[in-house]
Amino acid sequence: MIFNVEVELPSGKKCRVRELTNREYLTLIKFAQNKDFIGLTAFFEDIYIEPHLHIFDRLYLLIYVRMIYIDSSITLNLDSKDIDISLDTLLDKLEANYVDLEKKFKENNIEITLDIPCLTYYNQIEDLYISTIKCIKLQDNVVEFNTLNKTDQQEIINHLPASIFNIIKNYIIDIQDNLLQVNLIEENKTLGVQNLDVNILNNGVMQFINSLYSTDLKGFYTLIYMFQNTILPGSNYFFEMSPIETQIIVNAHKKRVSEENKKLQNQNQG
Amino acid sequence: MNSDVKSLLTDLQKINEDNTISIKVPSTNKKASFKLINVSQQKKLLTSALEGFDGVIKRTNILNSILFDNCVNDVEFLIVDRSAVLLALRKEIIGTDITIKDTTYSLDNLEPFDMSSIELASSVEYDNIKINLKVPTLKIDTEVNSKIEKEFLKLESQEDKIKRSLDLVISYETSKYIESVYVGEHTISFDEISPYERRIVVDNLPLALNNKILEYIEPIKKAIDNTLQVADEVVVEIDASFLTPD
Repeated sequence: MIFNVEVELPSGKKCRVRELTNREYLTLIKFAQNKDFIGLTAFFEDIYIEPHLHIFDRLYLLIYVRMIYIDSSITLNLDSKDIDISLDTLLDKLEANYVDLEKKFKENNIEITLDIPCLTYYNQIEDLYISTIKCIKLQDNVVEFNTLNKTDQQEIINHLPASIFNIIKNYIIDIQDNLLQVNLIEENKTLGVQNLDVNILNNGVMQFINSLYSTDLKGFYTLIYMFQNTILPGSNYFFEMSPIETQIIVNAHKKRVSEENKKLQNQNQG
Repeated sequence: MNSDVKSLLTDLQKINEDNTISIKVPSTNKKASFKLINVSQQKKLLTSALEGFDGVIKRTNILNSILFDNCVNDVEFLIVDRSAVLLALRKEIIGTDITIKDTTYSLDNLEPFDMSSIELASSVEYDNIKINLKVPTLKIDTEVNSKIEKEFLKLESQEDKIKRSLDLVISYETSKYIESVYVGEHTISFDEISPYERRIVVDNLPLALNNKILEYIEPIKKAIDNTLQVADEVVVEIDASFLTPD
């Protein structure tokens, strides 16, 4: 069984996130370096994102994964100074920004529940609209729309009256103030840190996540080489570990080497 | 597909069947029942606005398919029926008001299509070539538009599309109105040849004959435009957002 942890999302839903391996992290870095948002989205949806999670929860979840399996902070380079920002703070900000935007309406006897869009990245704004449909109730039939596969969703869309689309469009206009600028980092003039806002309605989530997971690919290959040849020669264990575990082992190795060097230096001096 | 989805679809289908409106089809002069448009059709229509030149051609076919798919009765539509049916659908879904450049007009002020102002069929002659013409069906319109769409896809740059679109569209558009061509003893029935072959025939017609065909087409186009003229020099445009509130 792969190690996993439970996370409580801003909506109150709980899910378990499994450990990210270095093998997966390498794939992730490649997508991030290519700024391939579609590939990156497919990767996360395959491993971590459950279809019923809305974009706010998805953003929270992906920052959480980055925090617990890669590194707990991000480093901003401002005027040649490195400033570390804890991802925990970002998650707190997200929780504080979360507003319940669920809305119900009835059209032609069809009761529809709308909520924050259930998607990660979209090519057409119309897909964003459709992703706000959470539940459809007609007489005794209740369908949790956002848990259905794409084919079933499309089949239902083909039968919903267009007047519903107009109501959804108005819903997006109503909620856009809550989604256009989700503040993750507050301005700090003393440190020279500017506001960091994520625009959820304009594919801002994947742009932010891309920058969060993007790292130097060459540096990662150097780490693989060093690990496989110096720390655990002949072993393939590196690819099964998480990036954060790797860092702990690399740090321990560096400490040991440094202590041995000091010892040698002392012996030579003595 | 799970049983909940199946059952919801059955109920939705029933709502759609019950929720029809009666629209007078100009070419048949009879009323036909139409289902209202669905979210998927509206989504396709709106998406076509983002596809540049390709989207414009695609949009006409999406609009045609609304007539085909939503009409409950068996009707052979002509291109002159399209705007009349779409206007009636818009009135039902959104209402009679339409805002064009910040001014609101009522669609109720539009003149209905006058079939007596056009010739449903005609013929033109030049030298030893005779051409029978007719107002195209929506089926022909869709078939030819699909071919134009494919030809557009072959043109890679927007610049190429701009340069060649006029030539392509004029030739294909003209071909829609031709029923048959007689050259001496040879006859070509346009129903029996492909849209591409129709275009090649049109491209090889003498200019004088082509002009005669355009003279036949012009009043038909004008009659369609007249039904969309809501005020002096203000025409209702059936674009991607036509079936979406302003």
